[in-house]
Amino acid sequence: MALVELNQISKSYDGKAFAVKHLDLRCNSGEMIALLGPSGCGKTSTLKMIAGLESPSSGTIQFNQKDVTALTSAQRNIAMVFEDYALYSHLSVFENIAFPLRVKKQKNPDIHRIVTQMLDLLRLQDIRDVQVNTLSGGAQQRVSIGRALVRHPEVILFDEPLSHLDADQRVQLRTEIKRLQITNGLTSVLVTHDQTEAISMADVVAVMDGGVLAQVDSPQGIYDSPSNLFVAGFIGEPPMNFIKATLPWDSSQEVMLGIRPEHIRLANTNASFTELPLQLHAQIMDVEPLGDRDVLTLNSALPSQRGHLLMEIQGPSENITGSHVSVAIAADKIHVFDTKTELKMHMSPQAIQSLWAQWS
Amino acid sequence: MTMNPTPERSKSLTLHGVSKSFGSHEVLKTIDLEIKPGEILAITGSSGAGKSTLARLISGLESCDAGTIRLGQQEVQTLTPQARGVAHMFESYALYPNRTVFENIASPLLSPTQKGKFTPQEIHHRIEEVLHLTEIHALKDRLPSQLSGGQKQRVALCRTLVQDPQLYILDEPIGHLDAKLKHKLRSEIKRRLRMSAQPTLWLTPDAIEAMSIATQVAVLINGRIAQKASPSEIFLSPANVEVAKLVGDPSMNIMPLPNGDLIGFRPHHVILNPTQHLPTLVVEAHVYTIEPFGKYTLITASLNATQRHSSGSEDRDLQLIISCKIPGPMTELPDLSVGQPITFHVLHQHLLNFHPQTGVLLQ
Repeated sequence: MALVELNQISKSYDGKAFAVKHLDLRCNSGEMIALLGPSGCGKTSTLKMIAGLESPSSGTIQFNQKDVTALTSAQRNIAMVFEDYALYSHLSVFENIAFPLRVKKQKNPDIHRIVTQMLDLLRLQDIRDVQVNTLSGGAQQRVSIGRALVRHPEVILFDEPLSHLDADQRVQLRTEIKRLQITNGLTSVLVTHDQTEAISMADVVAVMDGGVLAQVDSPQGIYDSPSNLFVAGFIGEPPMNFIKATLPWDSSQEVMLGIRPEHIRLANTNASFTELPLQLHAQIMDVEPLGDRDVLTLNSALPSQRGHLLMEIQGPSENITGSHVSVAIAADKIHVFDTKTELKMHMSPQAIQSLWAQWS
Repeated sequence: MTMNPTPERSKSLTLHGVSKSFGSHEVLKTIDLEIKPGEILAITGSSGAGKSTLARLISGLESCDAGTIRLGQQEVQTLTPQARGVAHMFESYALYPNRTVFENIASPLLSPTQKGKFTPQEIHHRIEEVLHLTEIHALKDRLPSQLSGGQKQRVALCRTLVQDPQLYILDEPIGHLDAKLKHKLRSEIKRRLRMSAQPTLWLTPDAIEAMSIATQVAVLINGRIAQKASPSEIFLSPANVEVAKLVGDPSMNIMPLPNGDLIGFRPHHVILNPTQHLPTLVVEAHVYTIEPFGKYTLITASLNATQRHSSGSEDRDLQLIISCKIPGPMTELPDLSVGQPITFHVLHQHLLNFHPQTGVLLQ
């Protein structure tokens, strides 16, 4: 498996606007990197350039320190797993996985041995002779992963592999791909618009916005310390709450406070706070029971968008729409961003507390 | 015109013994349901469970083989779709390709049966309101071909919400929206529908979405209502193993015990280090994957061979892998790696018992 490096990759389709601009990325051998972002962020263009389906306008791509920028897709030894599986629908599970080997004109006994191993690995043995178009989406995607793996590619590229699946199959296949990737040390690039997929599956998450990297970090790092407003708002479900404020001690400085819904707690519970709990009175506008958690929409005096705050607590709870509650937030859990540069700022919990005083 | 519900508009929807077959395939089997005005009943179930067929029977696009459908006191199962006054949002959207977004949304209000119901000003006002609600106001002069899938879905949703019907039927109304917009819209739509004078039927394969918006959730499995209850009851006391597996993210762990019992426990009830001196079920396993979700970490683990016991029921894969949802960031967990042995505990109070053969919840 290869180490994949992108050096100052740019792509423009019309010579004016850039789909991808000065991108530097590295995926270590045996790791999975996720390219995450909304549609139009450049993640798919980046994937196509790694695959050799498109050539960069400038910059180089290396596999194991060998320049592959000028190589065709076929010369690069990559494999792709597509959103819509792209299987040969009238062939059996066995023949779909065997297909790349037959193209390479491998001998029948070898094909049989390799495909059988793959069927065991993906637990497809029971359905080896079934025509693939009669299978569920999850099973079809497992077949397409098998077809990708039999070629022993240097890099395996996953293009939104879970987006067409039902919820339960998505959860199962997400775990299966992660397990295969780790136990087989697959160098993998995952393209997805779904942040939960990216942070749960990848070793490294690259968040893209408008063709440039917004942040590259470990999944937990991206979640805990978003380096700018875009990443803060994009990562997290339900999304982070944002509150616009002017610093009392510097009226020229506008900031955006960011609070994750799970960091707001009911003040009357015995939650322990590590740092300076900030108090707030609020009214519950809506309760969404989601099973093991409830999402409450609160109305408060905070200058958040429409006066609403989202709060996530353990469920099912007894909270009722319309009731008044006291909530608390630990000051060290609050993120601060400069509204002009949109970048993360450092602010001490004491400073955040004095800023908070105007609302509590 | 007043927006207050008039008595003849505040009607419940009642289904009694509704059945439907296509050829020899029985799609719906003796369905009983009631939805009161202002209530949202969510019907959830996997694809093929019969959700859309049920919707089509109620709006009159298919006819029942047996049973009655009432709006208020009136039996409507023999009436034409127009006479029933149902606002039905289709999963396929069914937009007019040659009409703008605005014209598509206006179309039900301009139909012959609606003549004189609203003044032109009221029509304009109603359309503006739903365009703003769904954040597609800027797209109102576009044709459907110029829209993304999520935008088309919002147009179809607008065209339904703009009406003042006897009943709303929303068939997967927000399935194609991104997570943020989905979250925002579902609570806005819920608030609007709960204040309205009509009953609403909301169909979705996503059980979490069903719980989030509904007054009552009905779980449809193979054409039968397996359970109908409040969202918290569905989650806490699923009627059987199938409902338990459908509701929850990730779904409930189901595990046969050596004594023949079949037990279930939710992933968030699994603990690594029991601190209280309460009886626990002890599970020996090996780490299968570790998935960080930011605010929690999902550990999946494969049961050790000594803990695998056949229940004689279906999917063997699911019995081998259990999911554990550990709150807090991954950095707070002890060092874990794939393949290493791990011991879990589940408090006895968090275990559910199911009948080993039928899968029915035992009280």
